Amino acid sequence: MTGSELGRILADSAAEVLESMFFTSPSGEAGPEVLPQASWISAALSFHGAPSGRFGVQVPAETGRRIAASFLGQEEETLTESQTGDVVCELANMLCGSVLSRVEAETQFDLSQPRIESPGAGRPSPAATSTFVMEEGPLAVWLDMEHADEQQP
Amino acid sequence: MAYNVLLVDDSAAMRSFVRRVLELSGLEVGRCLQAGNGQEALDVLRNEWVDVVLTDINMPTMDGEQFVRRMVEDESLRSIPVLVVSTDKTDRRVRQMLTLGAKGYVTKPFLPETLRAELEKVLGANHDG
Repeated sequence: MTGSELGRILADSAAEVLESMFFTSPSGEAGPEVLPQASWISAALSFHGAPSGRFGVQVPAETGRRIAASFLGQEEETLTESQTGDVVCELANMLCGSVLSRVEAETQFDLSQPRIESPGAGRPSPAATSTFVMEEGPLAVWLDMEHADEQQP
Repeated sequence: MAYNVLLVDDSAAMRSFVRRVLELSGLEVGRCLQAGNGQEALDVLRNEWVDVVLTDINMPTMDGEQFVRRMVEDESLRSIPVLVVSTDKTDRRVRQMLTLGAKGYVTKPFLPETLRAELEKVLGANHDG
């Protein structure tokens, strides 16, 4: 599978997940000037199957709060950091499931529990990475194939 | 009739989301009980009256597959309808859970109306016997 095919899959999955469960949609890909920052919330998980690998999402804290508020139906001001983190983890989980079902439709994958981690952790050379623009702010998504064993603690 | 619902998912965020979808769907929900894995869910079911269970598959301690298996093995629990809500879209997994005894299967992400329709189907099928 080529990088552009993976890029299209990331875009299709982001649209599917954001539109159906987060009541927002990506308006397109961000320019090269929008790069994930150290302050962004980062959630990642491993998947095991054929292929194995890791998947993650990164959002600025403000974007994370906005999409968490929309997902949970709460005011941003009432959200705890933990609630926002839970929602970003769930976003990573659903996006990963959606991406894998497009990469290998009939392969059963074991997904680890998504965790909040430091930006850049466990990302030696993502096979695909995209940053989408939403009304709530940017969302970076990355996929790294066949590195799952290297990432296990 | 108001239905008592048990939501089983290790993600508190997902349980909150499903609960909100149920509340907004117009479906009459009585008590909305929650559990973070299959073992916690079995503990709830032994102490509470539940009309329908919505469960994830991928959970720590006891996953959804084991949970449904345990429910079916238990005479007092096997008549409670189970709707699986999972990111796993493979035919193999869907068939496996339905063969085990689940009455319906919804893949994440889902539209709120899809969840409601599937839940009504599951509850209707249960009433029809």
